[in-house]
Amino acid sequence: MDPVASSPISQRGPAWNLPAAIAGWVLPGLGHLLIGDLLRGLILATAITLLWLAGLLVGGIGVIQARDAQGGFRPWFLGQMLIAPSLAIEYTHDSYRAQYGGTDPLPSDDGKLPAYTPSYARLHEIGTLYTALAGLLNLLAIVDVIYRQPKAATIDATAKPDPPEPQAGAEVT
Amino acid sequence: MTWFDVSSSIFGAAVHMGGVLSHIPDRTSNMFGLLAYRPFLDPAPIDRYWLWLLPPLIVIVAVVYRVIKTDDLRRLPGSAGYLAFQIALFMIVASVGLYIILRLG
Repeated sequence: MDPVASSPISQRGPAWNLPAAIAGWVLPGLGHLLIGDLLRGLILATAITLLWLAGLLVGGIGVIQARDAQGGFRPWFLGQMLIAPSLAIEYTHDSYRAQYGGTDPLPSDDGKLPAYTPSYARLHEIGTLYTALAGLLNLLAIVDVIYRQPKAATIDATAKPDPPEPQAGAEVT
Repeated sequence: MTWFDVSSSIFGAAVHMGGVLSHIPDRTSNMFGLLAYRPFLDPAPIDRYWLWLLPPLIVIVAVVYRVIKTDDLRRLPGSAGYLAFQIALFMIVASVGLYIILRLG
């Protein structure tokens, strides 16, 4: 028997689930699913993804942007990028802005709809807050999954040993 | 009743209806806004209800925090609900405090 696997968790130290952490960054909750913590992973995936999608729905894709109109870095993006799909949204938003000379599209008189409509004021604030908070909550989940013992290892360490099988011919009392 | 009377009464009714409709401009503008709304590309036309977007935020923050901190997930609904209540209470107290400071200042 492997002496490391059979030792108590407290003697083994933290589990460094780095692949699970990367998976959790790509898709919230996926890291917990990979280490066998299904219910926790499903709850995290549902809650964080819902928050992130709600932020995009409220403010549109314009809420995820790394740089503002003056070219300055937006600190909110540090929180938003803690969920990997935010990078794809930022890339899409940036490519849309490139069509309008690097700025947000303005309403036109020719009746053509712009590629997207930028949000302002409270909707922009709420959308930014939702997406950035979703990223920060995902950071909590990523840090948790790095240190959390895989479910199978926890069960192995805490389970009582099975009683020995009665041998053939032995008396049953 | 002459043609002028009929047309002026219709015109008067139209003006009256216009006056009535002018008191509910958002309903008509929101209808047209909804027709052109493209999810995820345009901001949702809910800027008047932004305050209702805060309770779901509180609930999700409480649920995610408690999911990570609680070992036994059967205790999750109670502990997450209690944490959500604490966050909401703190936000209300903080907003009342800031309002009082602004009014006094």
